[in-house]
Amino acid sequence: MAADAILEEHLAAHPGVLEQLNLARDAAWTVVDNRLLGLCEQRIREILGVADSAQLANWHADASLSATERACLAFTEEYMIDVANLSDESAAAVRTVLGDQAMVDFVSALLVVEQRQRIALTWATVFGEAK
Amino acid sequence: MGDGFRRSQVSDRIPRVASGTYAAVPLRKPLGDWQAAVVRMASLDPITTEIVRMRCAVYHDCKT
Repeated sequence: MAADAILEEHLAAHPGVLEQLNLARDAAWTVVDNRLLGLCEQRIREILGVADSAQLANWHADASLSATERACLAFTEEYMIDVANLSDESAAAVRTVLGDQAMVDFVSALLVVEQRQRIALTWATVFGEAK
Repeated sequence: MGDGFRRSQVSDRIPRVASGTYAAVPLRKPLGDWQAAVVRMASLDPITTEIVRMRCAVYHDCKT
């Protein structure tokens, strides 16, 4: 089930929180290039085991990806696996291709999409699928 | 909480972006509002909430 539906069901009793969460989602997709954020969201879903396919599992070998997409996908993988130990090299690579402002926007948007997926996965696991 | 604890928890990393760079307002505001809305929830007791918050802050290097 899609993260949106899970969040909507479990936050039905907290409409104010759901509204703010959705506003943050909408803002993330407004501020960051949708193809770039979509690729990273897909990789997040693959790592969490909730994606329908693993189309980016071997993205390193995909020559069609741009330098920006490659830097952001590498960053996303480290962010997902151990955010506290994300390497300076991966952060610098994103900074090089995006610049300071766009990097901060990207990381903030990544937080939003990652948070939604993790919360939905946790709730679906603990409470079962939405009815 | 003493200064010793705070010093031990603050990262000595070199900032990865220029000082004063923040997320664009259209994203920063709803992120802040979402976090505030979560903090206003009262279902979880304050002590558990604070323990979780502190653990997350240390792990995420939030300098809080």
